[in-house]
Amino acid sequence: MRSRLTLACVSVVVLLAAHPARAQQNPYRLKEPDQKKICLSCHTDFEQTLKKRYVHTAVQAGECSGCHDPHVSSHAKLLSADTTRICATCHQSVIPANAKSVHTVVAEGQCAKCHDPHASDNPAILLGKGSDLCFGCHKEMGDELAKVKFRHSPVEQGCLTCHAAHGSDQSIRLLKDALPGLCLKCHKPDSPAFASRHKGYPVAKASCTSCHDPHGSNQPALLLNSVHPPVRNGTCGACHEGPDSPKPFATKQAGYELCRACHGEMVSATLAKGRLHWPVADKTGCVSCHNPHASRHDKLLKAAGAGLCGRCHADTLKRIAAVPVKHAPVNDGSCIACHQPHSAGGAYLVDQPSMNELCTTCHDYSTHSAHPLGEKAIDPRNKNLRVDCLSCHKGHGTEYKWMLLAATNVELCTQCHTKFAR
Amino acid sequence: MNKLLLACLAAAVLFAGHLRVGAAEGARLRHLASVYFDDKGAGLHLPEGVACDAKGQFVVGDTGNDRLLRFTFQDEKVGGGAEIKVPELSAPWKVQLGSKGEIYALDAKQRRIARLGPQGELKDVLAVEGAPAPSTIVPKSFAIDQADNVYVLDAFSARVLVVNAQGQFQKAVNLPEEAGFGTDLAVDFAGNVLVLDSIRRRIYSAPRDGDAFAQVGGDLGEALATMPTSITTSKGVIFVAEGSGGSIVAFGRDGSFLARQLSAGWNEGSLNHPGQTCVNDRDEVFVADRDNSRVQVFKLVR
Repeated sequence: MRSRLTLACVSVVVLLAAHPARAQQNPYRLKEPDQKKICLSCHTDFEQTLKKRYVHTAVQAGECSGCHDPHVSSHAKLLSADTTRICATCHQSVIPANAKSVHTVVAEGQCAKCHDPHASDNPAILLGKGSDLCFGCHKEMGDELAKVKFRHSPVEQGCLTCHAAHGSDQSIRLLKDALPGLCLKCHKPDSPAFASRHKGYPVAKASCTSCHDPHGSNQPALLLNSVHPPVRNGTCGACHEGPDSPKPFATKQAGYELCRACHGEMVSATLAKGRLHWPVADKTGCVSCHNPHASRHDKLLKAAGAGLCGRCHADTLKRIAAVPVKHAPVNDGSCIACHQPHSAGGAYLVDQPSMNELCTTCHDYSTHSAHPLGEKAIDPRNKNLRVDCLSCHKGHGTEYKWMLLAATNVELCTQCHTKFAR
Repeated sequence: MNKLLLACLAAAVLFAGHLRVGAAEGARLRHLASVYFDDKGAGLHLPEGVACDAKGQFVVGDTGNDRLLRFTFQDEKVGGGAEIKVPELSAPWKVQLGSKGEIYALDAKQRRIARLGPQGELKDVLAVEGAPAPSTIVPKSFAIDQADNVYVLDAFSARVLVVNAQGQFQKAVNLPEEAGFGTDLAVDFAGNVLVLDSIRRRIYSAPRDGDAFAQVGGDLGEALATMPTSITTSKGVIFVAEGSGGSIVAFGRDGSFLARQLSAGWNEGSLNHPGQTCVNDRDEVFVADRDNSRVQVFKLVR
């Protein structure tokens, strides 16, 4: 009697509980409550997708309406929200709180650049396998690593050995830990071999990437491709105090005086000219532009082309970017086609006696036009000036054809030939 | 009601406009004269330096011609133009005048400061004795106060060295650690030292007896669209010359933007890569208009 009563009560509770749950599982009161079945009745080709090894949990559960609206939508593919936002409705926590770096595609909500929203044969329903997926966008890195002689072993294991896929709350560049801590997880600085290779200097406190390429290199020990000879030869003491001194990384001399010990001729020739590129002679000296240890770029430069110059001359690059007609070397980022990087005899670090002579190094202006140019051609606007290429053209570029200073010839020519102005 | 609102709005717009004009007029420059030649008719060539005094004298560092030129400016007229040329001085690109008529000039090629007597004869070359290490000093610019103390902006160590009229070292004040590059300096009437940071677009100030620089106001990047080349100050207004922009930008003592005057060009009243600027007691402003190979004189309308 007692057990029958208990059974009856349990049945009532189960029935009552099941009713709203069933209603919740079938919000559209479908004839066939299994959404997956009803959707697949039309989307038959989708059955193949579902056979893949890894299936999105929502798809596996048959919750097509978790992402798609079965009737109408303002978004493509009947999605319930914009493609850049829909994943975040469930996956809010992919970007760590206080992230120091976030993968651009994640920040932009472009999850489908890496993941298939339904199913894939790769873990985490990724579109590709391991690093190959990364190299789809980071093509240059992939190409470079395919060519280099030595690859860092974690690179072989995959980018995610060191980088977080979505975001990192530890470091820049999506690194899983701050530098040099990340490197020291594998490389033990107290080992005799490590100490010997680094000549006893306490490099565990320094930046490994100032000398080593963390991905791969053509140099032994993964040194960056362009190596300062004292680094290659292990003669750190040529520039730095001894490894046991109180300040082992301190340089023996300041600024260009340190570099002068080896590059004396070059430093003297630089200082002998009237116009210095001031970073050469400032507190930082040569290392304002050159990396003292190793670099990816020629001549140990810290960056290539205009990218380096733009660190100080950002205003010039901004103006250049704004004009449609640019001087070819400017377009190529080759500032040094016209400007000397260390010092020069003339203004704007031009090492030619005049602007005309500078331009002549590429352009034969004597056949350019019949217009008088040069020392004997006095500028009608100012007797102290001579007509030169820059009287009509602007060196970096302008908004007008041929980098002219005015939109029309009349407007340009009447700057000097005022009597013809209307 | 609508009419009342409209009237209020109109009054507000007019008032705002008045404020803007007021600020610009607080440091407006009116062109007075342009100097192209010396007293023998020889043209200036890429002059970068100019210094002026209360007696109406101004001296031009005619950099491209390796010489100095001495002029007068009285009743809005330019006079003189005598050449001063000494073999020990080449490419003078910053010039200052001492209280006793001496001419100080920074030699761009040899990077040293030459001191000339009132008649233009070379007296000596400034030797900073007793300064803390390093011994290498690369003067980027210099200024002189009323007691003839010389303030040398040492690019090599990012510091200002102060030496007295006899060349004896007084003190060294380092630029702030975060400074980009100190390109020029000025000393105001009270002895405060101002340094212009051309990379970070900032002005730093150190009080007369101070031993540290502090930033004046905020970053000036919005006011200084192109790389600034020189700084000077007069009666509480700081003037900064912009190279490519061809402008003189005025700031208040607290770094507040007051006005932008002039623009790039070759017409008189326009500038093409201005260098040193000097303001005398009569509010006459002398600008070395380098790429126009001339010096221009303006009246400062406060």
